[in-house]
Amino acid sequence: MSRLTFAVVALLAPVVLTVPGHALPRMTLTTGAPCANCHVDPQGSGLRTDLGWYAMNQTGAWTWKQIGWDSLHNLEDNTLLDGKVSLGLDYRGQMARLGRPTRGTDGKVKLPDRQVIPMQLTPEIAVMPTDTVTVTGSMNASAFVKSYPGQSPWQAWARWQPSPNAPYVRAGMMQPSVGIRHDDHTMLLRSDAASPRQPMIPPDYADPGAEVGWAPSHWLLVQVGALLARNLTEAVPTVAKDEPGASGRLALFPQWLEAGLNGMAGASYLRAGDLQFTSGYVGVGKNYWGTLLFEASHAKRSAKHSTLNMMLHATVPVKDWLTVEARAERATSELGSQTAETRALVAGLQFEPLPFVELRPEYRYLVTDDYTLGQYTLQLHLFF
Amino acid sequence: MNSSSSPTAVRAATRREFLCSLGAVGVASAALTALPGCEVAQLREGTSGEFQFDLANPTFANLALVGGMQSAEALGHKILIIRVSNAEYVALDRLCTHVFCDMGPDMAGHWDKAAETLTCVCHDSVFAKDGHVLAGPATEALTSYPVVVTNGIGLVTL
Ligand code: FES
Repeated sequence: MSRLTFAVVALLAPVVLTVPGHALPRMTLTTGAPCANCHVDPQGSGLRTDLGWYAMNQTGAWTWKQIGWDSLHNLEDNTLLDGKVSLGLDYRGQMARLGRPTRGTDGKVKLPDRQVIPMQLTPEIAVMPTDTVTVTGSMNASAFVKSYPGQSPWQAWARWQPSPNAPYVRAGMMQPSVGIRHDDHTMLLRSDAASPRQPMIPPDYADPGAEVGWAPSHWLLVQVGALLARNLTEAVPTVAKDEPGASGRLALFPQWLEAGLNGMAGASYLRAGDLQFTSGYVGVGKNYWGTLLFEASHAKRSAKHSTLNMMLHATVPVKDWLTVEARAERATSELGSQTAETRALVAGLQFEPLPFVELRPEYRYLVTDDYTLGQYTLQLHLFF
Repeated sequence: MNSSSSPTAVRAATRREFLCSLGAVGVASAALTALPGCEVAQLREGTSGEFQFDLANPTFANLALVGGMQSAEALGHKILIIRVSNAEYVALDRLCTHVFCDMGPDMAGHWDKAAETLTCVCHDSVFAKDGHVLAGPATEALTSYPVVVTNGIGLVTL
């Protein structure tokens, strides 16, 4: 990769950093490949492997060459030094009405103002000094702008895996493997309907921890980890600072090759202090047909406080570079005798005009106990 | 995307197509923003009246000590009752005016007994006991409601 090209990609991304790029389960459901095939993080998200990079380099309504950017088109991969160093970048911004409706001085209910919000600029790097060791790190603007309590401004961990089919150990500042790490942080699955801007496991959450994982076959992944609650304390104040925690996740990736179907199912559990966060999901997909995913999460935050969230998510590919998606979500929270409920319906497109450029126009309809807000939004994702 | 045999022509045509499509996306985005009829805003607001609470009720046990705070749903309002001193109680809107984190106990609210301030840990806004903003990012005060406690029975006027 030429330095000039990398600089161009870096310059495309505006200023403020907050949330890192996450995974798209539809990729696994249409290809049958576990997240780790395309992402350095075994849970998916962020820095892409050379395979993940190559797949996205092939996806776009146009190629960079067709619009005259031959230097970008001619890139062969995202690595340096014979593949020992991989580089990545995720920028995400959106145009949306932030906040909730208000009553104007004329007594009429007003939509919140439409704003352009930079959400993420995350440079990522992975170094593979030997075939068995990976050291990776990413940095984001949470250091400067705290978007969600509990976000970590950086993540860095090292993984040792003696051979491709052997168990791996990773340790460092990392997000424990819980449920699916979606790329859309407006989803309600990890939030509390009583306080949606304070998700229990925020996008970009990380704490000091370690994890052992093993994929004895391509359709099974088991992960068991331990953590020390530092940032989690900010997201869930009932978890004491430095409280030890544990997590476990079982992920299945079944395939029915004759029918061309791919599945994913899994369950996970995280415990730290009084917080017990359980999640489960099941999904099925067929290449060129579409995907359907159901996911639910339950959290017991304290003896009196619990949440239950659910999501049904469908995608239908129209072209390699154009996917129609829709999701329905419901989040409920119970705190003693008080309850809160939020429901959301979202429909939109995932459009990739060029490799590494994604536009997501969406219509979002949100109903909470306090208000209803239906709005158009547009997200831009530039990545590498 | 085109049938020309000249590479230069191919590039020019596809670049033109691409720029046209970007223009189309821009026009479509502008059109979306110009469709306010499809955008919806409704509010469900609390009503005025009085909300009574009994300090002997275990639900309000948090208020037994100075510095304790308790969430309540009162006539459609989400409020936070705080015991500021032995005899002084305040009731404030519980949702932070910044981006609406819930400042109930065990959520985003932290009451500093000595300073008599309420901090929203979501983004560290600080409010005085009468609801006004001491430190941002919040810019709007929390609505404050009068509270009177007599013989262990509290009355909040909403
Ligand atoms: S929501 Fe309270 S400070 Fe941001």
